[in-house]
Amino acid sequence: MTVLALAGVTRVHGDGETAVHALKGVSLQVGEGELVAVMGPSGSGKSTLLNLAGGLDRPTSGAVHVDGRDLATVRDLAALRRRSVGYVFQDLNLITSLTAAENVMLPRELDGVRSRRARAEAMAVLTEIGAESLADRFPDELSGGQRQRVAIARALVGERRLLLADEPTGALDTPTGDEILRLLAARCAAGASVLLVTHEPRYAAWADRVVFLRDGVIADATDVPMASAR
Amino acid sequence: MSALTAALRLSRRGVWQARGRSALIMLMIGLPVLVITGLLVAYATSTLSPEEGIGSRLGTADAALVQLPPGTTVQEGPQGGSWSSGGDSPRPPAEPAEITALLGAGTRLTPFATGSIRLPSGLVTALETDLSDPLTRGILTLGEGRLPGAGEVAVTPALGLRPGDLLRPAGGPPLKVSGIVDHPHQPTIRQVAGPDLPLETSRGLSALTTEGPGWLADTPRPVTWDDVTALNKLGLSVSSRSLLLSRPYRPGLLWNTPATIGVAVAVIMAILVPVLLAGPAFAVGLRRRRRELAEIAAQGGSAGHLRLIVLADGLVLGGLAALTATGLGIAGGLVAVPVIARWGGQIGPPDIPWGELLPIAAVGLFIGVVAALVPALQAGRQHTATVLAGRAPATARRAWPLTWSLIGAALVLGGLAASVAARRQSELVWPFVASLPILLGLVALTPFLVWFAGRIAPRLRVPLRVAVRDAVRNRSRTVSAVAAVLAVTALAVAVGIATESQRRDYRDSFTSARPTGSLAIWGGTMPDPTWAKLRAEAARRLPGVKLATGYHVHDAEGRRYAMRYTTRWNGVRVSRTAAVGDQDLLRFLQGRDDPAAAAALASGKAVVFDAANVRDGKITLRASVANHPDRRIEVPAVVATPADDHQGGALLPRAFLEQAGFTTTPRALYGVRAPAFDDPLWGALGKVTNRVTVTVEPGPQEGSGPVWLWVWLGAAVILVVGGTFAATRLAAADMRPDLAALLAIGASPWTLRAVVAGQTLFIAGLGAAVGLAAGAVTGIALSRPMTTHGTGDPATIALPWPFLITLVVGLPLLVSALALITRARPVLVRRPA
Repeated sequence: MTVLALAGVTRVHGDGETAVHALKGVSLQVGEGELVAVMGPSGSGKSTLLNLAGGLDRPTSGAVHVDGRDLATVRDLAALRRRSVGYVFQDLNLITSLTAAENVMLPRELDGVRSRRARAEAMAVLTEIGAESLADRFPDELSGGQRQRVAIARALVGERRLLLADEPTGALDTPTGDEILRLLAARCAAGASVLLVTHEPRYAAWADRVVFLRDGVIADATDVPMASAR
Repeated sequence: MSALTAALRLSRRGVWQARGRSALIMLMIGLPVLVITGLLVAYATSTLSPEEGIGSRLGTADAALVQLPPGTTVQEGPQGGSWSSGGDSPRPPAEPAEITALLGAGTRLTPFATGSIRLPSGLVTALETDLSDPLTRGILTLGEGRLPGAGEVAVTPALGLRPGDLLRPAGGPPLKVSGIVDHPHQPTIRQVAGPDLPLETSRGLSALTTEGPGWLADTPRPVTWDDVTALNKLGLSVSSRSLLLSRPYRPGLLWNTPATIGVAVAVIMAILVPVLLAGPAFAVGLRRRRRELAEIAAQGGSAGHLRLIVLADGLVLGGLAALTATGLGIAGGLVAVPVIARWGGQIGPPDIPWGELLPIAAVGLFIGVVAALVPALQAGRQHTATVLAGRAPATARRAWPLTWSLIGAALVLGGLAASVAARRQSELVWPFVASLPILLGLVALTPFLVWFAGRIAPRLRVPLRVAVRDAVRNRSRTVSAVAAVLAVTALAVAVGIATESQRRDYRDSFTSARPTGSLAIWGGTMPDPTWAKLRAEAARRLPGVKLATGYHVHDAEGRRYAMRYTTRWNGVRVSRTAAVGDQDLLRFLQGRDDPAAAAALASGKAVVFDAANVRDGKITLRASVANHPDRRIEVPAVVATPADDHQGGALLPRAFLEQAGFTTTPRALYGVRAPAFDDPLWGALGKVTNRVTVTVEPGPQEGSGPVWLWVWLGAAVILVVGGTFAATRLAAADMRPDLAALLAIGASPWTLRAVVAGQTLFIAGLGAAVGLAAGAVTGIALSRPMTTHGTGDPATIALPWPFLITLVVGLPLLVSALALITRARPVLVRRPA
């Protein structure tokens, strides 16, 4: 089953002479339990792709479907992100004034779930990824890897099945980065879908499929895992 | 609900993390709450309800009775009382038996007289009573020593005497201090009490009911209004315990007591100014949290959630500020009362008027939420992907919002028109009402004003150019700070001009017919030998002082006339009585020899100091006598210059009056030396005859204007410095990449500081300049109702120049200088790819 589908998506920033074509007719599908990596040089449109996939930005043309719903018809995109899509960024992922558990609770609380239940759900996810001991620590008391684990837990809390990760290993050393990718792969095995933006072939090798972006278009794609690079 | 819980949790933690910024915001929101709460608590505590104050007035007695002077009639009733003096058939003072008969068998009276005694250090209030009588319990409490017996006195601590000391009152034998007594509510009162005191009672109309001989009465039944009416007929003024306690008590609210000016200023200050001041600080918070809010949006936070999170900041900070300020205000008010009482106020039991305090605390909370409103709306509008990518937000197409500017301009014009109309009203509130649209209009116009003022940037040196350009580009933070400075300056300027005008008007309206510092001894009707004795005693007591003589005017039947005329002084009608005398009196009034005036007086002409009253070489007088119609008399007159600017009046030559059929008798003395307060002259002349009045001309008194001006300036300094600094700190944080770039291309650290100081100067300077214009309009509009007293009285407009220059020029320079010496730390910044 397809969780995320982009069909002929273009995104133009600005207009007239200052117009920048970030994406030019990109089509891409991510299936259930699939880990898809997006690679490409700076300015190739990777982050724009991720923003469009989660409804943080709207395409200039083309269609984005999440769980079969056309995002152009979804009025409350924030609610969609609370319930269907989770984001993980390279850094500054967590709210520094909230504990790890409170960070994970946040999307559920924003969705109107009572604090007690939200905390229970957050603890369940943290336990699943082996981070329950971090629950009451503040972000500045966590290592980079621990912070990313908590961010992943937050992206998965509730019923969310699509995880959009923008260079989640960018600020980590190699062993920690490997650990994060192992975690993402495990979540995929448990049924989640992950769209991973990275420019490290080492991490892209964990993916079921790799898409190469260049100047806003898909330049190449490997349908088989890059086993050789792992 | 759980979203609100999460938002409040975020705010709580954020407030703690950014403690400095939070404290600044709380200070700005809390300050007005604290001041108003403190004032209300201090007022409620220092005000005595009838129950609280009755013990110090009546002791344990049921009523206090004061014997009024012969010929005075009094009628006291539930609606107040009326007095009249000079009745035809003065009755003898009431006898205790008459009173006892009226109040019923079993009534006990103890003598209780109030007045003052004259000590070398000044007049001191005095109670002549037996303090050991149980009826007086609670009026004064013994702190040290013992209660006074015959020839003894108890004193309050303010007199600085010890038991055993001797007190030497004028007009009586020395009294020995037997003990120290405390007044229950007035710790600083200078009071003595004893069974045998040489009391002086000031028998002016205002002192009729409070001073004089009398009794405390213990009655078998409560004293009713019927009893009061009956006692009034005996010439007694009555304070009854039961009637005082049954009178409905409405504690005066602070809002009601001062003029509307206080309320209007309080309302504007309490809401608009803190909102504007806290605005930049909330904007700082928003700018710093943009990324955090974008993260939340990425996790599913809607625009509403982001608005809620920023508003929760206002709720938490406003709530904390209101709570803290209310607590501190209550504590401050309670602590302040004894301190104020030490300067002469009074103190009652602690009183916290919750009914007024809670709405004020709610206003504090409201201010926090309103101040966070604009940042909250901006938070809801921010573009998540742009923020996450670290790109600069898209700038608005126009440098200033057209609609808001038009609305602002319309409001300013409307306010100006309203101010012109308000100037014609006698109520103070209208100029204030008219100032609101001007102020709100200017706040709406501020984006345009910032853009317009920014057009000078190309002509400035580099640091200032960078500063001004940055201020104009980052409108949201600049506008709020400029508007805050504008509002504070406008209020301070308006109050400054109004206060100074009132002070000047008060000073100008003072007029007197005698030079400042001179002494006048007026005799009443008395036989010539008494006058001779009085004159001799005055000459003996005032050695070396040249005394000029003034005369009474009588007709053939012996009726005494006053030669009166009415003049206008600074627009106010003043009734004057012309003096009658010779060259020595003329010299006294002019303070010098004026040959022309002296010649005119010698030739039988009046010398007049009120120039407007001399028409065609004549002054018209009304010769008034009791119970007869006035006579009009025209006297040839010349205009002359008196000794002092504030002096008016006229001097009539005796020769003219005697030619007109009057006789003149010397009954007044004037000299240019003011005797000291404890000079024996006062008592000595009174011993010769009680028909003498001795007075010293004090000259114009300074009002309290300047003090208030400097209080205002102090408040303006705190608010402007606070508001400008919040905005400057935000600017400095925002400009880090620019400052780092400047540093990289070789700018000195002082250049960086100059850039930050330049922003401060731009914000404070622009705000102060526009605020000056707005405040001047309101101040001038206010000056008219504050300085006119009836038709024909022109308004006084006075500009307090040192105050205005300090406010409008000095303050922006001060905050810029402060910014210049504050470290502008250049840091290496991470540039988003």
